[in-house]
Amino acid sequence: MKQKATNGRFKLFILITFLGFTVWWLYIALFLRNTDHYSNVHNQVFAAAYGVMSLLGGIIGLIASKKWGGRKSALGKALLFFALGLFAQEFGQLAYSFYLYALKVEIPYPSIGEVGYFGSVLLYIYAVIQLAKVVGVKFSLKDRRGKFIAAVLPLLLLTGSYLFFLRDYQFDFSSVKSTLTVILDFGYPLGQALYVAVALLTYILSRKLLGGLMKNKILFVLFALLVQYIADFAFLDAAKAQKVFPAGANDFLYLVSYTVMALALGSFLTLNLTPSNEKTETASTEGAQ
Amino acid sequence: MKKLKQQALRELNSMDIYAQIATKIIEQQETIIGPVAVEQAKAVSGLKVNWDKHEVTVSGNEQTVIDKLVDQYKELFGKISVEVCKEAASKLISQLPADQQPSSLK
Repeated sequence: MKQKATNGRFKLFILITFLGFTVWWLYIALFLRNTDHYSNVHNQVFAAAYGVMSLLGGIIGLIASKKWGGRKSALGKALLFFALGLFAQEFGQLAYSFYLYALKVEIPYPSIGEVGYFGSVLLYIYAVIQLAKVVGVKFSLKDRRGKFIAAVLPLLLLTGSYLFFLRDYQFDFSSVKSTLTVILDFGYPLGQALYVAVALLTYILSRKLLGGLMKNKILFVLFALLVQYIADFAFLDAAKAQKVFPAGANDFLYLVSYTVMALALGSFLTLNLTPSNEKTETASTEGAQ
Repeated sequence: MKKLKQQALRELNSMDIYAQIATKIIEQQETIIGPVAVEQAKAVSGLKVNWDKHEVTVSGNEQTVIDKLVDQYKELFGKISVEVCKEAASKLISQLPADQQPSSLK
């Protein structure tokens, strides 16, 4: 009962925070659209502040992870690494804001912010692999259909990502910085395609066997990953077209993705099961009637 | 006398096997869901769990108790939990005669 109330309060807090940021973002998008996005204080503060949602999600993820065994269990590890992924995103956000508003320089690429953003991609990949273990994907990999899907789906997504973002890529390995740029240019779209591919695989391969109280919680996390992928994809696409600016549509999409992930991780804070003794008692009462 | 002794020994062994099956299942579930696996096992009637000492005692109808334990995990993840339990107990289950095997693990 107490758990349920805590869960309700946490959800309400997340939703109110989301609503507050949404109203603020709408105000900027509707009433300040003709101002300079880089010098307007609303744009600056919004871009630097909305990452607080990923911080909240990260904290919630850490608490949930502890409940499920932390590093000692597959589910605990999955939740832990999703939480670390959210913290890494916030680190990236803060680093980018630091360049723009503290140092007042254009964000270099690559920069220290990449440790957070690219780090989060790697952390999400590891987290979703752990989640695949939790839902017993290995049982579905025993048949041919499972093996085929597991081989083809990631390949399709990686190829699609390559063709969309990297087809006409000009390689430059002339310096350490440019080599790092090449690695990141490939790493971002392919890494993101990989975590969403494993998420989709997890969904497809566990569809027939996954059930019970945990089903919706697991599906919620997979959905949150899909939303994160949409935000990442949209960001890369906008960055390619040089249409990214503070408090733009991309920032709002990231706010949505952090919110969904925070709610998804928060769903693991509670577990309402009927103890088998009670079930037996209920069954005997029903039998007597 | 000898026959009775043998039967008693066999019963003792199979009782021990049920406790071992329960232990294996809890251990396997613990690697997936952590301490919640132990919490769930403690909620099963007929199962006494002292996980600090890794001790599990099965009382009453052992087959039913194991079925209840599997059901407890099934409530969490559905059929996947049953598959995990089957895998965990597979080596031990083969040591039991068919009529003494818990139906959930067949």
